Amino acid sequence: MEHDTNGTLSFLNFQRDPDAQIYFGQLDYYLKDGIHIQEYGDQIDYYKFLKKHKDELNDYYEYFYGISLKEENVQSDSYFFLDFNTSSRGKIPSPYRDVLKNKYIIIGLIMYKAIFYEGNVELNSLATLQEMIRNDYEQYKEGLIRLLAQSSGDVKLDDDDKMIDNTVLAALQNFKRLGWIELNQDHFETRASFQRINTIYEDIIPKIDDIIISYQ
Amino acid sequence: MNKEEETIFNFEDEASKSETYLALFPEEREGIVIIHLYEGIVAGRYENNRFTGDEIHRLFEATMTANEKENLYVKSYNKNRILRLQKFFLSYDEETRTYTFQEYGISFCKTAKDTLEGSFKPTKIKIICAELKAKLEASLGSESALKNWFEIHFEHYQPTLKKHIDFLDRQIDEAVTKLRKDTLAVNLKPLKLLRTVSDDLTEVHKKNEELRTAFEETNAISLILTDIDSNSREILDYIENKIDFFDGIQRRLRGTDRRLNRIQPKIKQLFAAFRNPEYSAQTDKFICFLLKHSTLERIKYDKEIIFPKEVPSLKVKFHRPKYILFNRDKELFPTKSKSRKKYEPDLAAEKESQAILDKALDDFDTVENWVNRIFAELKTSKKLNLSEAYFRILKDVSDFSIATKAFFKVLDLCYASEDYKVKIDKSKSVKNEGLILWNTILTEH
Repeated sequence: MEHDTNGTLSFLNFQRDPDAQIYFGQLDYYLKDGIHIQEYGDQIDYYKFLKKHKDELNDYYEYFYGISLKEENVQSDSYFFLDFNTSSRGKIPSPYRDVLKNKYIIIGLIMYKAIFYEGNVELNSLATLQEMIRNDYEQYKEGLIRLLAQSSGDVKLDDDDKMIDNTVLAALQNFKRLGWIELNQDHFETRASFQRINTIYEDIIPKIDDIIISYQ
Repeated sequence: MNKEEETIFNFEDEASKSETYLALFPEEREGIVIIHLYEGIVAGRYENNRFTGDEIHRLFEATMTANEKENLYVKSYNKNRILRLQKFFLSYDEETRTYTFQEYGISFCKTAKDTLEGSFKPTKIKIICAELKAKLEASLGSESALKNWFEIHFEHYQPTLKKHIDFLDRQIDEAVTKLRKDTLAVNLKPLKLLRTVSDDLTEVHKKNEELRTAFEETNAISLILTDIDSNSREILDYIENKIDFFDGIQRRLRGTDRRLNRIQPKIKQLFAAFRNPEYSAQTDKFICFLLKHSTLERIKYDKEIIFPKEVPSLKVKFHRPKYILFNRDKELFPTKSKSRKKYEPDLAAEKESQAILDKALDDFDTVENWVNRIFAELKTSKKLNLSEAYFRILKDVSDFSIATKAFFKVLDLCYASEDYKVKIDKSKSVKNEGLILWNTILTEH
């Protein structure tokens, strides 16, 4: 690490910004809680602070925690988050790391597909989304019943629908915690950082054909 | 129309009668003929806007298939249709043996045409609003003029105002529909399609902005309406109704803005999503793969989904220990009371204070005694020189303040009572040991 003339780590210079005292403490909590920060609503001040000091802050998190601060979607509405998956040096002991449950990732991928790849840009009702996930995708039905409803029968039961609906709701509540969406009862609205669900596996998805072949 | 008539006429019932319904809303074939005729009039094809029965028959024939023409007796088949149209759409003039449009027919075609054409003219709205405002201002103060404003002027423009707003919402609908599943799927150039949609929406945004400015006058109209003071139930109802209408317009304009604000960021993100069109198809395969090859495993109490080995889980947060704050219960751990500070009595100071207090009490008694003595002397002699008495006291007690207090107390008492009279002779003074007093004589009646 570079040290400046006073012998301190140069990336710590961000602390000299008077804004650091106002925003950094809270921002640090948000980022470590997995919250994605974008230029939206009450996050705007934090976003601006991140934008101003992103390189120094990235060095800071790399140096002390072995995790990186990432900015994605730079061409349009960008968002920041701490990428805990890059942590190979393991400065954060594993009991303190939390994962987003895989069932929520599945829901997130389907939701992303419905809104963006299928152009349902005005889809913002939880009930409609639940119904779509339950009924509109023949190709997913069996898997959803097996994994989410955890029943093995070929015939879908009323209970299975309830389980799927509950998982969708819980998924959205988790996305809200991450700052990906807003959720207010039935109404939800995706924020810029919802794009993250689409980038998590961007290294694996292009190779999917090969992976599928290896399973046959 | 009075109340009784209103209750008798029921639009739903009337229009539901099948003959009436067909006369009001013609079948497709009749409708097309009517539209042809209407366009002919608009284009000035018919002299004096009149057309012959032959012309109508010719138009009807044009809508028939060859098969129909062969199997049906054409003229009589269409005659019934023309008769039906004569109820609301056309009227027949026996003298000239020609047909003209009825008012219903004209406005029917006009509304349909405007709706489809979506004639969007914010400048027109602006003029209408300004005119409505001017007319409303001119009608203030006269109930009948106000009624005219509501029933004639306003009523006339209301559909035009409303149509403009509907039009923008419809445009958004159209733009958004272009993005739907099927269109996106079959479209080979999704980015180009997105560009069109994005441009369309920007255009709508701009139009909404223009419309907002055009409708600004309606706020002023609402304000004027709110201020109108009337006893007429009818006028008050109108006011409420129109204010609601304007509020509704403003709400719709805001709603359109909000809708656009929600859609536009997503369109922007769609560009990113479609930069690599293959990726979307691969994502679908990926989801299927996860659903097919993930397994369930019991972790603690719940079964959790485990992804295939190629797919790692997503770590999303730094789950930190909670900071522990220690709370001290005041009931259980009361704060220790402070020891009371003890003061040692200062005996010398105490004695000194006591002496001062004793002296003050003694002095008070001495003064009282002297006052009593002076009044006793006065009682016997009826006349007394208080100035001389003062010096006597002073000589006796050798205390200036006692003598003075006694002197003034006697004076006060004498002034307060009608039994005594005080006479102060400023020309004569009594001197003694450097003190000079005015000669003060007391007398008792």
